[in-house]
Amino acid sequence: MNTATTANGHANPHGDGHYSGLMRWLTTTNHKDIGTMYLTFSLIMFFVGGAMILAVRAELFAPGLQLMQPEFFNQLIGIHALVMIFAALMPAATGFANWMIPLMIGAPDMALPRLNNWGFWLLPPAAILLTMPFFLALFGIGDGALATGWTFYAPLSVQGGMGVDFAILAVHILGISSIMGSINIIVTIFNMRAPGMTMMKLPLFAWGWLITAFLLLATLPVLAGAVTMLLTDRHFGTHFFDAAGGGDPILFQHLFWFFGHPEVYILLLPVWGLMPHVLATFSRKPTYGYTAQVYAFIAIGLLSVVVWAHHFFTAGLPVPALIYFMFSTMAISIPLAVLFFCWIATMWKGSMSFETPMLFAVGFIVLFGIAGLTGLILADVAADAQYHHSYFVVAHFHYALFAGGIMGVMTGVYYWLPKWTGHMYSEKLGKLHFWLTVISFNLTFMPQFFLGLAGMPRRIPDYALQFAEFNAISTVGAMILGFSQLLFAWNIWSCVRGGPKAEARVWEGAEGLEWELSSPPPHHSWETQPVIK
Amino acid sequence: MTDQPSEFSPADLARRRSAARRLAWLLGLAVVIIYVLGLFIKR
Amino acid sequence: MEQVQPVPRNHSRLVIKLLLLVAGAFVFAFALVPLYNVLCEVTGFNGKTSAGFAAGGLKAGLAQAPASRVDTGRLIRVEFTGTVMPGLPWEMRPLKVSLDVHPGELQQISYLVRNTADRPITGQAVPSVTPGQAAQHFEKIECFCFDQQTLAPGEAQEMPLAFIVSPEVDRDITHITLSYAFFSIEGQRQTLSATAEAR
Repeated sequence: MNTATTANGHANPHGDGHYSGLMRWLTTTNHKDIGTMYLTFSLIMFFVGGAMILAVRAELFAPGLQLMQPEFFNQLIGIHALVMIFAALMPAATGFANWMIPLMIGAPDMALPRLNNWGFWLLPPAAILLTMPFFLALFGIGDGALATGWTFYAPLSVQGGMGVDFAILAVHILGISSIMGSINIIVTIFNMRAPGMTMMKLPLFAWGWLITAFLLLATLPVLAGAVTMLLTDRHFGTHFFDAAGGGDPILFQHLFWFFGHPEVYILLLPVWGLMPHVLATFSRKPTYGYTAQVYAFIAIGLLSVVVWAHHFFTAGLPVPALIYFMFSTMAISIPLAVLFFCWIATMWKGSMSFETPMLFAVGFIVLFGIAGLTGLILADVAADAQYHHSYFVVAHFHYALFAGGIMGVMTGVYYWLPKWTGHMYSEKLGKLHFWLTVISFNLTFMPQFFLGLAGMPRRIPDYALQFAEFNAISTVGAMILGFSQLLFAWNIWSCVRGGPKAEARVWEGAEGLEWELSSPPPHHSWETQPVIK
Repeated sequence: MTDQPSEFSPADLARRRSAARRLAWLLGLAVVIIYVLGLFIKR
Repeated sequence: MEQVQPVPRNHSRLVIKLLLLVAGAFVFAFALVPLYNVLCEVTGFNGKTSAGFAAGGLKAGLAQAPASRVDTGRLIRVEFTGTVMPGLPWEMRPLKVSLDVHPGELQQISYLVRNTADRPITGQAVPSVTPGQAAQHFEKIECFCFDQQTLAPGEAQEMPLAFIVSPEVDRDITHITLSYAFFSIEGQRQTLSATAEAR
């Protein structure tokens, strides 16, 4: 089965062969190298963002101010969010796409390899821009990083210090990088599929990413526009958001969330795309409802751009607008319910086995379900008036973005790691990592639902005494959660270094072109394309 | 596609199939019980 | 598995189409600014008040308020408030805290505004009406917020305001709050929009 793939017979395992060492990575146009760089960058930034929030949780362990001033607290929460969203989750998904989409659709590489290299190398400078104000402040330059929270709300961000400018420029660069990545993925999927692979034979992972890429192209420029207006308001005397000059601060919220809501689905669609692959593999059954899932992806993509105002129900919208945004938001639960149904039906009557990726996949379904149900509560205009800007919201979106996003990414990492490295990871450590993660995650965020219901506001470094016990529990959970991720990094590291040899079809139930190639795949794969019947 | 020896015997797979089905019914039953209990909770 | 040589494809047409989508989305962000202002004026969203009667001044305003238009069947309490924004060393307060008005009636009140600094300063007031549903029925005939106001050092001025609450206002509305935020326009570029959009 695998003989054909070695037919290209390159003598140099590193293919391009022009450079070695650092220059190889700086100049590589190989989708596998670039995918590896994206994933490595993502893992590093995951720990950077995690360290920030552990400091925040340490401060919140007890009421009162112990470790830091409120200004620094504000900087940590905002940069934590920007790092996790733009520098950890999005690059992880792009890394998956780079590695897997060409293998899955039988393409020799991405369509635009040079653009691909450039897209990655924009990320490290952007990450430096984002975090540099912290270090500049140590030397007395400026007053620290962005302190407005990741949402940049005007007029606070119009008045903020130079950390706001750093963050604006970082977001511009990150946005350009994501747009280049998205263009590349769309062109690859449209133009480079193996002969006979029609759109409705496309792997669901590629479908999920296709919708993500279109959402990025349609909404990231709006964010770029919004932060550009912010920049000109701050420095060039315009009045887009400045009420003194006839501008309107609420306009910023509209522009921001026109991007911000689709962004949630941008982070999650690649994960929803990979779930059916994992579930089908470990249930030893074909994916249930392929067509239904494709249409659900499309429906979610379309709905996601018309529901943005549910993020600021309390800003004083007229009643008809509130009702429209409430119902359109709730409508998204219908295609999502279709996805949940398909995931469960894929497992139904399957011969399930629970290797680490399957554990993460099942954990994802349960916890992401909690995220969805609590989201419905927040979508209710009347209830949202109470829950808005409380810890209930914090708990809700961490169930969506940690349990939905990051645990989804971990599912993919464990599922494909043997394919990438050619070695099996330690199943024992993987399972330990799963159970530590899932238990400490719930220990961290479940109490936050109740804190929010009891009225604890988010983004405040201090709190009333009655919230002390649950905050202490939450901090203990966060510390276990944070430090157990070191197991994850260690497991990946030792898997890259060596381990039992992985076979081409790593998992016995796995289907798809990527499992026809050896593990690890040759540096140049599918140079002759497979024909799909 | 079956060129790789399975680590599970056919009997093993069948056992897992029925175990999964039992668990699914159990979970479904739990959901129904919680739902019915909810009808009796008065605020 | 059967394998074939890949067909080289030209990607540039698709890339150009996708770049157009990106450019379109970027332009759309800026197009939302005027669109949003139009939307606010039409719906009264955000407390933007009706600008339709501003141009004619007091005389034209009186023509807008014939006695037959007055709805004597109900009273609406209009409350007045004002804030001086940071950076403007002024004080302001309405001469009356509230007025009970019949819809359709022309009413006048004044704000007392005083410059506490020892230099002349120019400011601009930005109005907002709550609730938003009432904003589009709150017609300002004359208002100090239509123009920039300059006060000499220590000068106090009564700044007048004439308005009609339109009889079309919803029957559920019994209270309307009119709030002004006075901004300093020193050190800011005095764009056309500063006065035009403040209405």
